[in-house]
Amino acid sequence: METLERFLSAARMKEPDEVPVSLLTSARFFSRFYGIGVFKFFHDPELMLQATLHSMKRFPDIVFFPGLWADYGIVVEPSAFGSRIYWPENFVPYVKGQLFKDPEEIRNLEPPDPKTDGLMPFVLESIRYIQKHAPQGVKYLYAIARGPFQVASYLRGPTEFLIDLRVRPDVAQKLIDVCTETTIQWLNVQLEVIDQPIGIFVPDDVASFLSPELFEKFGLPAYKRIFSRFDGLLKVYHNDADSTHILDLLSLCDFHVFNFSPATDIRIVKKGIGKKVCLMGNVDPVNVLLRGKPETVEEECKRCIQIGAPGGGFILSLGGGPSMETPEENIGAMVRAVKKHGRYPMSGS
Amino acid sequence: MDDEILKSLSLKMEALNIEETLEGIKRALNEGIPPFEILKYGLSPGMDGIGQRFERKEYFLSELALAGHIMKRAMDLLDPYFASSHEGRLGRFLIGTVKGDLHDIGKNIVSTMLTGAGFEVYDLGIDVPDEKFLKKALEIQPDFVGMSSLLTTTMLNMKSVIKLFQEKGIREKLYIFVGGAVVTQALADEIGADGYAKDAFECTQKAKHWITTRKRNF
Repeated sequence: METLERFLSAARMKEPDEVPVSLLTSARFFSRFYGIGVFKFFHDPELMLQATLHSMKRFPDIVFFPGLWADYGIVVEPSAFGSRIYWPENFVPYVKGQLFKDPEEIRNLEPPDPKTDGLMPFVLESIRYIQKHAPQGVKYLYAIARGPFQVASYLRGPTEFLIDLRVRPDVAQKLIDVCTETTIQWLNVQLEVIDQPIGIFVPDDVASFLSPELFEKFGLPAYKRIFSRFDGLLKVYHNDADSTHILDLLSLCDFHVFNFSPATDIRIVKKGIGKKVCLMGNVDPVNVLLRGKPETVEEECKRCIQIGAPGGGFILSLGGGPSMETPEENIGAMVRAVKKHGRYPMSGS
Repeated sequence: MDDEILKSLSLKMEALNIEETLEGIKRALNEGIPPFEILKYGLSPGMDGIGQRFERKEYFLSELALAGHIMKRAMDLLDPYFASSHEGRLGRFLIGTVKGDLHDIGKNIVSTMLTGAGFEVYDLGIDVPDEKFLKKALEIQPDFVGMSSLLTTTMLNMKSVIKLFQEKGIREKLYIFVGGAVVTQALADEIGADGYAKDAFECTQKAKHWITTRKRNF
């Protein structure tokens, strides 16, 4: 079975021939293995493409998710609203300061135009370039947009946004509504540009900062609105904050693959949301993959496989993305763990 | 009577009731209860209760952020009284998220908990350059410096701040805490920090314990 086919089989809640291994990889990882500064990666879509292909060739047993990606970091959506963006030389860009110090400014906020505003048109142009120049058989597969809570927290400030949910719920709701609409419109515009899309990818860690009560009130409607709009596509949701307390609510949100935090117990996830959603995780990217030895990595992968893989619907991955400094031998240990312990059929299937 | 007012205040704080907490403080001040007693026997037990609810998973980050908001407004009422007296304050705590790192929620919660416990907290915010830590430390002569980092790419900036304190000859006068998602006790030891705390509550407990056993060196 080809690696992507294996990944998609698991995403459809099936048992492939063996557990797929996937890494959520972005500019940081690709630029490091290609030996260029992260800023260079952003500077040139050709470098973006070559750096990504380089890692794909170097680790052929791993599905790099989302694979080809015109990745400009977390700043794309905030830039479209007008946030100030800071570009370090060898790290991903970040949003500097709050755009809305005064919450009253949010009352008249409208979604940006993804075809013209901020970095969005540059992303679209890079997608066009990458898919035009990618070698045969390597496709640009996913439209990617940060979820409404992530974007809202960049615009308003994370702490201020959380306070608004209680102190100014009408303002918080307005901001979430605008960010939700932005996520939807931004995904749609990318889908128009991508030749043969197979899915959408929505990362949104900040949702787990909400209590269950607040998530039910603000999060569930927003997520239902987003994920219900993209039927026929594979819907992947990433949240690497501890989401134990909202797992039942997340299971109502109509996505297919859940990339979750090492802080969220895989046993609980497998018994609950894992019955209807493919699990992608959840080896600790820092304390195990970055700081551990290959044997520690292998042992932790074995544990995740033994809990997550029986019955299918499981992709071995990290609870988040790998750090830039991740030792190469530890990535190899993930693949070895699958070869040793991840063959189907397995006990408990 | 005072006990009753302060107990009621702590329950309102723990319940995260903004207006009633602020009214409770005004009432306590009107009754002539000293500000440090309002902090120590009213707000601080309320914050302890919030911490316990967080550990029992009855409260989440959204509630801790709100607790910070209430504590800030509470201190707005009490600070004019503390301006003329430091009675009952536990010590000075300088805190910030290191350069290149924009995470603020955890650091803000630590600030809130420390304030609630009676520390004078000076929060430098996020993305704080090494020199800014130094400048403020020289200015306010804190008992503690707390640094937060949530990225593997920024965690070593905590080390460079400690090095700067060493170069300027004030390192030994400070108790340095480090924390954040990527920080461990091993890293704290490696970079020469004095303490590591896994969360805001542990940091507050450790700081309270330590302050009672030291002498000021400045």
